[in-house]
Amino acid sequence: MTTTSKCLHSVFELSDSLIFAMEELHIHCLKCVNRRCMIRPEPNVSCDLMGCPLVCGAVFHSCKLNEHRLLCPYERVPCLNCGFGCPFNLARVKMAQHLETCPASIVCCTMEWNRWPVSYADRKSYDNLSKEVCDVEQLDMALALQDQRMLLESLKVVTTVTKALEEQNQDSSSRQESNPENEFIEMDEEPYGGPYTTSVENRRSFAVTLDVLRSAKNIDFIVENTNGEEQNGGCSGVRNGDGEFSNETTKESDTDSDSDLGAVGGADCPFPVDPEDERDDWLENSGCGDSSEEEGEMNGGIELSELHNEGDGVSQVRLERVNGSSNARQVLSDHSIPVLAQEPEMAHLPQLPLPLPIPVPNLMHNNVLHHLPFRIEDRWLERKLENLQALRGMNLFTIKGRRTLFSDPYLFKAKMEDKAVDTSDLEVADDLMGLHGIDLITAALLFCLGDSPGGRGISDCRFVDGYRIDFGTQTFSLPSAILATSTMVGDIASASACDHASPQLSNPSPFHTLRLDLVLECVARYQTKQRSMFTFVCGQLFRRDEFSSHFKNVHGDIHAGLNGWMEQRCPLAYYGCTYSQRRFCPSVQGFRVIHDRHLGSFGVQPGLAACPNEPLSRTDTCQFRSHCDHLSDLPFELLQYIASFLDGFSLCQLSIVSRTMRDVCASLLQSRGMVVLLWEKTKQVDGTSSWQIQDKVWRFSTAFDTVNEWKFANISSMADHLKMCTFNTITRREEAVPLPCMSFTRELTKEGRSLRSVLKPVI
Amino acid sequence: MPTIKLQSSDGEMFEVDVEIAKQSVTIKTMLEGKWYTGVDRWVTPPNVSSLICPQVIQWCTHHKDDPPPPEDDENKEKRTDDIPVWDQEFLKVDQGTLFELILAANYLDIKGLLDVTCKTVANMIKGKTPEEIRKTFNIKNDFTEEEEAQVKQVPFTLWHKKK
Repeated sequence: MTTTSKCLHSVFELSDSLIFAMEELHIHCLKCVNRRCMIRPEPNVSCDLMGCPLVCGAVFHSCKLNEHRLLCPYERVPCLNCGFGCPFNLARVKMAQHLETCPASIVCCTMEWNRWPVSYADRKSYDNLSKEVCDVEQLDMALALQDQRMLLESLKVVTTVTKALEEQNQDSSSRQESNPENEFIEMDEEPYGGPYTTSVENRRSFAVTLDVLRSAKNIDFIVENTNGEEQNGGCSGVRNGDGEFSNETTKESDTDSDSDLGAVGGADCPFPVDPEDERDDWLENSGCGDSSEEEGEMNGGIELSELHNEGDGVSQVRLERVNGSSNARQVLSDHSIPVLAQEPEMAHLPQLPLPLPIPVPNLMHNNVLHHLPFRIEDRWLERKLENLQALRGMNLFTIKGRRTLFSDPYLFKAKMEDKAVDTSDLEVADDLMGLHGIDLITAALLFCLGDSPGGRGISDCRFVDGYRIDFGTQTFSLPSAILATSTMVGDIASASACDHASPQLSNPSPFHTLRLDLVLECVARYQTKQRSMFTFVCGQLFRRDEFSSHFKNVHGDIHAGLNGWMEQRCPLAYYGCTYSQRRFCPSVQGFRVIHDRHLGSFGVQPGLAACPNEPLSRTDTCQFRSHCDHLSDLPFELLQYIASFLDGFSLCQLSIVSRTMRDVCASLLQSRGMVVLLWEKTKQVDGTSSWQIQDKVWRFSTAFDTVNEWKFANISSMADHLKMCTFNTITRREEAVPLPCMSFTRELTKEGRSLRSVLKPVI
Repeated sequence: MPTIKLQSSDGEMFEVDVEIAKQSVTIKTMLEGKWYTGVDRWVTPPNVSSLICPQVIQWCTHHKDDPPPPEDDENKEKRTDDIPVWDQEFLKVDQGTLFELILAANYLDIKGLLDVTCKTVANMIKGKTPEEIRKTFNIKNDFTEEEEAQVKQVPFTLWHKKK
């Protein structure tokens, strides 16, 4: 019987007792409250007076005993929060006092703060600030990195499974040409010479393709395999580096070993196009025509040339590739896959949850841009999906909650071919990640911003087959070393996964670079926030008696003081100086505020107490040695007493030191910890779902001892640092410099003449 | 002033005023007991060595005029930043001595000394990461790798169930 039901049971018991008692009350006793009632006891009429067995001082007729138990202050009753996990039974008179410290009386902190993403102009400055962040002691940097970590870890790939895809995968598994594990191993064998694994072969065509995708709005067509069979090839043509169109037999692509995370397809890969009325609309929406005209020598255009009816009566829309250089349209060969526009048939499939959008890797190979799911090669996609399954046990993933086209035969096919192209004449730096000047963190953060008009658009939402699907307009690939860890996308973005994947990545880890503004912005909830602003919520749980000190110290004192008041940075921080000093210390000199990355919370560290490394003064007879574990050898009761002086933050840390310490902390859970109900969604027999309490979990909060006052720390002035700051370059001018308004004079002095010689003497 | 003798575990005798010694509830109980009738009285607290006994006497001598400590309020926040300066200096000793003082204060039931010594140890724990705590006290990490990963993620209830 669960605790909740126990509580309810006891309440019902008392209610039943009351009902029973009421029925048993004598006619006289029902209305008699006289403590000195002298009536003679008579059966069914009256009974003797009695005092409360618990000696609360009440006197009543004995038939009212059960009724009195509902009121007696010394009656032991379960806590009012027993339904929320509180295990205490206590005297009713102590209930109010207990509720102040009840472990089940929990408050969730809903404090919010906001941060801007780092502007492009400040990027260099933040690169410098982030250089020495291995051991972050600066509170503002620690909090900002924690916020950034939280943001990146929120990028998750949500997996859904459809029966159709399962069947399709099962059918296709037997026809697999290559083992997914081999594919995985192939990824594993990617060289780790650098953190970047792909390169953009042709930037101009890539840029054109991006323009195509950006401007394409409503693509109301999909590619169908009219035979209903899986086809190995994609489009029949592929553009090589010379910009010529070659008809080659389509083949499976097995080269995208580092691009398995999603975006597939090739915008350059032409489809057969039949010009028709829809063509103009599509061109208008896609902007292909414009792009092909603007980029005269480029072959990045895709046009919808015509819509024609085939013999089967099914309307087909064929895409035609435009060769911009010749301005001539080339119709693809017959064995290319026609494009069908049909009503979506996937409406009958179950609704899927809405995941966050995922970062799309760069799949640019040999002038073919792959975008999910604009063009998808059937067999290639299945294999990649199974790679993903091997990675994460996923069968299908969605973009913004919409099922992809995988489960249907409506698939794009793209022909891909590996080709090496010399890009040295382009006179641009290699953008190995394909990020176009932005770093991975910024790209991920921008991804989190999504379609914010104030943010930088990295995806375009289009309507395909009745579903709104996001097409990535920017792509980048994650280092395949990270993929080898079989982590989720959110984990991929975490610094720990990066460091674990490859030591080369961790030094320096790209995810240690801060791309969020150090300054906190507090915006009231009734104010409209800029959509490009990131909002963070504290969300930590505290006991009711801990919440006020948490809010006051963490949000009121520390957060408010991070904007230069408590943590004062060098005035030359913009130029790269990482020096900062803490101007205030809590309560006692020597105490300091620290930030724990694992707990994600602030704490207070006292000053130095007994030095553990001091040599023993009289060692010979002392049974304790400095190399012994003195603490664990203490009696359990003493360990409990020592632990009773610790705050929740310290108890969290102590509980993972050793088994003994964990047991000591566990013994303090009821008095110092909090209990949280663990809910689990269960399916009933009739098919409906409901949430049930699975378990009660006990933990400590991250609260630290209340800081009632802050004192000025014994630190030197910032001016003392500025004297030695390496970024403080003093320019001493010995010659007079003309004012900006003295334009003519400035011209004269440009040749090195001094101002004095140029100025006319004042008469 | 009447005095009493304290005999350490290794046989050394220390003479101390009765009023100072009565800060120890254990000694006070023993003195008020029926079996102490002689003039020449001594107490032999076990596990209090000749190194620790004079330090305990020194602490009690300094605090002989302190008011009696208040009753522990369970709801009241236990603070560790209120250790008097003299006690802070007094407790700047090695770990071995510190823990012996804890044991002596516990056996002799000297609440004030027990509180300041335990607060001192608590201050050595506060604000430290688990690894730093292990290093400070030479505690061996007896979790397996799998358990260590679990304890960081799994709440207490589930942890104890899995054990």
